[in-house]
Amino acid sequence: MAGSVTTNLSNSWLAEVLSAGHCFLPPQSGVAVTANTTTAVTLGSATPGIAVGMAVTGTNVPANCVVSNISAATATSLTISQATTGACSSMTFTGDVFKIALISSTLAGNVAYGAGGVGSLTTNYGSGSGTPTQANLGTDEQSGTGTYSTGGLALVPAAIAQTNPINSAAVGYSTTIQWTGATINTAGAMIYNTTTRLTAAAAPQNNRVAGVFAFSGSVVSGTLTLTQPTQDGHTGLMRLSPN
Amino acid sequence: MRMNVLCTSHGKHSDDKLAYAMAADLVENAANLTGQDALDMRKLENQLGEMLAPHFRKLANRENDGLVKNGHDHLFQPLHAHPEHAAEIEAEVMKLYEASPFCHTMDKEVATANVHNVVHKWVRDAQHMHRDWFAGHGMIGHHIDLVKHPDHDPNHEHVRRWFDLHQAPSYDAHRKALHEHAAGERIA
Repeated sequence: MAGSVTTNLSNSWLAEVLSAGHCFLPPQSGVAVTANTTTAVTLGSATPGIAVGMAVTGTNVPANCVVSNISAATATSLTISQATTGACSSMTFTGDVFKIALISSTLAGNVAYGAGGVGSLTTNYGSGSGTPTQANLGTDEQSGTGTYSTGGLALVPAAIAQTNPINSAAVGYSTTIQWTGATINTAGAMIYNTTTRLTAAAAPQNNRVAGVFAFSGSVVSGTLTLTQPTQDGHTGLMRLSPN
Repeated sequence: MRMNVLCTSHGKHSDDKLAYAMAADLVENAANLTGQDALDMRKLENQLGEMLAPHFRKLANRENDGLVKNGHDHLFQPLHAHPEHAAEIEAEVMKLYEASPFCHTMDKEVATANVHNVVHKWVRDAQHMHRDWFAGHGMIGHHIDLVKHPDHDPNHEHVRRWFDLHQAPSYDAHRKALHEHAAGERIA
């Protein structure tokens, strides 16, 4: 059965947003810090936009290290989950890593479907339930070509925008969503969160679908660019808005 | 939440295509207008496109010159839009906007912020396109006039870092690449 794509955010994503299930904070890169064989970190200056649970990267920072506590008493003290193995003068704090994967125009399933049937878990809106993941896309993903590789492109969140109107909040990405030297025929794209942040009744607990976006485009050994809508309360890709 | 798609077979987006696509992004309300307003908005869009095309040519020349001169090291230029060039484009966009019949329809502060965001998005994306063609395929040049860079090495450290950053195979690879790009330090 041929399928189609409909733009929508998944039901599970709506619930997860209200359950600390997604961190859309942009990375804080190369932050000046003082730390030496300790979990205590002193920031060089007060730095808004760091949250408990964000990943920590830097010289002498062990793998899988995260922010475990933020001092309520000072603006520049926080604790990380593992002691640095030596001196560290610069750290990067990273929120969740989202990815965008292209959906093939020859999709067999129906990623627009929401209440059962083929591909029902893929977007899960309308009356659908469950927690769809990128794995549900399966063979309906665009095959690797040019700079497009299976799983798609990592997205770096931009700062949350509160504009047009001011009583809204919209998510956007600072990443250039573009593939070159590629032969692609696509019907849309899926944005999903690669970070494991919530427990679940069953695996997998990562690659949770945020939304699916319908469009069409094809290139032959060329350049395909997706231009995001203006990041505001009216048109932002993912937004909380009174409109 | 509509994604706009830009497609070009057999090569890079041309300077003209980028210019008119960016102009359409700047005046995205044009399709909703009727009568004289629609005509005036289309005129503004065309003026913007004509003004922007030489800027994308200039941008392409700068990127290609950098790749020819610095090779793989050019991939480690800042990821954000070239600040002086973006400011120059912003000023010219605002000049055309203020000379148009729409200059009083929007608060200047809001219009300036919108223009800033759109200009930076398109300049950054265009820079990225030229670097991506080099990183992924070793090609430099304009549109379909592409030639192979003689020193391109797909296994060069900076090429691998470029794809760790932009086509991250894993969460760890991505955040490590982010840190290394921002801090200029290597993590073992």
